[in-house]
Amino acid sequence: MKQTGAHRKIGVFFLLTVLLLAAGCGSSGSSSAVPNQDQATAPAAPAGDVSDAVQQIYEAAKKEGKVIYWTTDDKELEKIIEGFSKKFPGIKVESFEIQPQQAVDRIITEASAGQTNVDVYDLYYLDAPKLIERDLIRSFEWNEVFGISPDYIDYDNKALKTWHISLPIVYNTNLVKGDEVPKAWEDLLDPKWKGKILLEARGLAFPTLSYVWGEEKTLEFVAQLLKQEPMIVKGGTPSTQAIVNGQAAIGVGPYAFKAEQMKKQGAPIDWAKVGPIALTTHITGTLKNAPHPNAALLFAYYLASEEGLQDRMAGGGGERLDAAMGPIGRTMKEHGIELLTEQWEKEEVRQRVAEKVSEMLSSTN
Amino acid sequence: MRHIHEISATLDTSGYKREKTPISLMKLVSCLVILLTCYIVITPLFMLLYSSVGSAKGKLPFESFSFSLANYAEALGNPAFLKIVMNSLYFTAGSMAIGISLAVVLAWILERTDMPGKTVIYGLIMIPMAIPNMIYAISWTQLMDSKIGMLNQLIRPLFGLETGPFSIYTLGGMIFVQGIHMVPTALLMIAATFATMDPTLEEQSALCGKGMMTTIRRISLPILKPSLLAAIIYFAVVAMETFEIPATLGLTARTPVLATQIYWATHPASGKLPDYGVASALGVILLVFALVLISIYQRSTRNAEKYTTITGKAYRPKQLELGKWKPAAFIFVWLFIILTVFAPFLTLLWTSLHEFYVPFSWTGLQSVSANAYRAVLQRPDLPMVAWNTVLMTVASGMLTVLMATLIGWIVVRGPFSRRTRQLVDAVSFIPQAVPAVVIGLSLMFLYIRFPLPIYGTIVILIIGMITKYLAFGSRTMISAQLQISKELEEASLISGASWSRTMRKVLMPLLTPAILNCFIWIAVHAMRELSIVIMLYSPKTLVLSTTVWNLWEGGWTAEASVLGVFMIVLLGLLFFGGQVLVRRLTGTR
Repeated sequence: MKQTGAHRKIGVFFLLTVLLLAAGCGSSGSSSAVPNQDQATAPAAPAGDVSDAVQQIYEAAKKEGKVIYWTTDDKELEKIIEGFSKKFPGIKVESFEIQPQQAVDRIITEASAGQTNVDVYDLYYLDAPKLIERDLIRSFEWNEVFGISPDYIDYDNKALKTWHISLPIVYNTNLVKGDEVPKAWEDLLDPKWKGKILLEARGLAFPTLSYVWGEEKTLEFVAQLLKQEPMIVKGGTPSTQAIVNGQAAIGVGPYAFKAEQMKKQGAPIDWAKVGPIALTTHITGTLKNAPHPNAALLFAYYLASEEGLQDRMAGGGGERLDAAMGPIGRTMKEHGIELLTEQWEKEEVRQRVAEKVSEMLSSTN
Repeated sequence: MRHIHEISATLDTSGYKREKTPISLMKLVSCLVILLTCYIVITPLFMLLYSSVGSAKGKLPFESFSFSLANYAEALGNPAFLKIVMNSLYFTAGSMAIGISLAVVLAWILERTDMPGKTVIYGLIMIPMAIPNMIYAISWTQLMDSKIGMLNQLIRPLFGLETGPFSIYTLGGMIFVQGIHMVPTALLMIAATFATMDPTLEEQSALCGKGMMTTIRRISLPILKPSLLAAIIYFAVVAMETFEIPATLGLTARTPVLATQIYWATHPASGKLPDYGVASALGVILLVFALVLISIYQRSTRNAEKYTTITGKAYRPKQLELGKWKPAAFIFVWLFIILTVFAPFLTLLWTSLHEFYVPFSWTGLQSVSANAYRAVLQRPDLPMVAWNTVLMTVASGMLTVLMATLIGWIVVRGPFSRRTRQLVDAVSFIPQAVPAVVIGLSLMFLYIRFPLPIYGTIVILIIGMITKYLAFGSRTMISAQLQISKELEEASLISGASWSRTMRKVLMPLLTPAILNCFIWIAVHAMRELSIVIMLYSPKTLVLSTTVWNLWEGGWTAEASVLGVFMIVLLGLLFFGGQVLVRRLTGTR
């Protein structure tokens, strides 16, 4: 009897699950991962000075009602959404956290089926060509309509540069002190660092460093680094953790802005003022068949605007290494450090180096 | 040879009230299950084969097709390919030896002896299943890193060493971590057999004057053969295709394996699309390996009646007294739990209480803070994430177990030829060998074009989980059903019961321990599964694993660890509850 009772309960549980599934099947679309905005407030005119063209886009965007943004980290969005809502009330921002590689795969796959489920993207600079060659990104007169500086516009008006990640030499301040802090990249080859170096498994910095060093010298440098018996760690977060907890004394892979954030929290980590330093640029833009095209234009513009960039930095997201530099950029400038951003024209060489470095780091002895 | 159902239909049962369910219901259900299995398997299998021979560089598999063996040439032409295969074989064999040996010993202690506190022990041993593989591997680096590892720091002063003595970044370290991480799953696969073993066989051995070790070696282990082989085959493929532990530990150890090659092919440095072609070519090699193993399993378990432990004769599973072995068994079990459960869990808990990692010390204790817990509990999406996770895990578990149970019945005693049943067995195992990213891509590609609204909903995640875990489910339920003698089912049918009544009243109750264990395992793994979910989740179907992953990738390690702690506590409760239920239903303590 006991068994019959238990089995009956399992059967009822099963039926309930099926019913809930049927309900779940019908739900789709997006939802916000950030605090909901107050929909009851009547939309007002955008704050500040805007041109007629922008006003027209805004009126159309209000009718659309929302914008869908795919981002790498939505914890940094609070200030941005607050600022955007003040400037352009009446447009809800729905964010979705997704890493660039998955975002690219998904945009391409959805487009192949005639679907576009995102308005504004946040990708790495070198991801854009994959979407451009498939004619998925919208070109727009960002400078003429929104007044965005040409320095922030790339890929023939198809992408806006927003923020950066820099990849310097990072070290544990308890294990590397005073004069020991590297003053040049070659210092990493000093035998005293044998067994104490960390390299992030993708070797992100080295392909871009090859712009200055050349292909051969870069690969030779990585080969020499591997003789130092480094710890090889997959991922930016585990790399940073490994430096902080002392598993490695010094390394290449953690981001400068993460090191600065953790330093402020008391972690024994800092970055060496040694150039050149490779940067990874994040870009934004809108897709050709965006479900909310006008809201998309406004939000992409805001992300690349001075207000949007200030909001992002205030929210702890990335660095600004452009004309209006953040604190990390100013420090790098003071030390005369050369900053290297990815350049599409040199992509063939960079790609070759990236493949070779990745192969070297993941290979056997 | 006529099936029992055909025979029972011809018997003269005048005077007996015969149930009217026709034989065709059994065949209908069987055919539906076979069709459903094929449907679930065909999509990822097709994508795997298609991508391996038609996928071009710089394109996703469905964007262009040009038949070529270039992907195989690239995969096999790697100068280090042989070394990578040898590394994979050593890694697989070593981790299986550790994992399965420990699981057999633990299963025997927990199911056949009078060890005290079994429910608690069982629940604790299962806890590492709830920890995502990568986080589990990282916690072991905190314990056994040659410089800062806590275990090393404790042992070093005893021997006057400056570093070590252990280093986790070696092939031995990889084998050790993978091996002990396998133990909970292996225990689940093997324990149900021990639980339902007829003790008279062992009693007869004792009556003949044989000692405990001889009885184990000559009676218990041979009867365990189907479930042991099922575990061996399952883990052989899992160890070959799991990448988190080799990726976390093997990079520094300069010990690449097949799984890490598949991972790098599908996660290139920025600027390139994933190379599904090469990943699929490597996946096909894995598939061939898996099919060879299945064939060995089928040959070895050909005479199913040899392995029955549950028969028509009345039996009551008997607990052996450990006697003078009790202290040793107690120390062994609890040492295992302290090393493999408490140590990694406490490392995770420690991480959740600090903004960044701080070595365990008095200073570290003073900087403990609950900020991350507050931040997680204040997340506006937390209720949705929790609800989606519960729905996905429960539904995946139930549906997979249902399918696996029916597949088990078809393979062991279905109304088809042996060849057909072997084919069903092999087909149900195929998804285990398909790389998870290929499964995810294939489901994305299919369901975005589906006329029903499945893409972007929780249903596509559940389909992904069923696809991935059907292999484990079918292994478990096939070996569980091999233990049950056909005479019980035959007696029911001959007495006039219908097939469906026999399934419900005879077979299902006997399979309850295996069903519950299988459900718990699938639910736990579905909860922490990432590779497939990350390709299919949408803004409205956020689940725990994607939330943990995004926090981890963003550097929010404390908050990611908080969610990890919640997962473990939740699953610990699920295990305890499940164990209490199993023991009540089987009448064991």
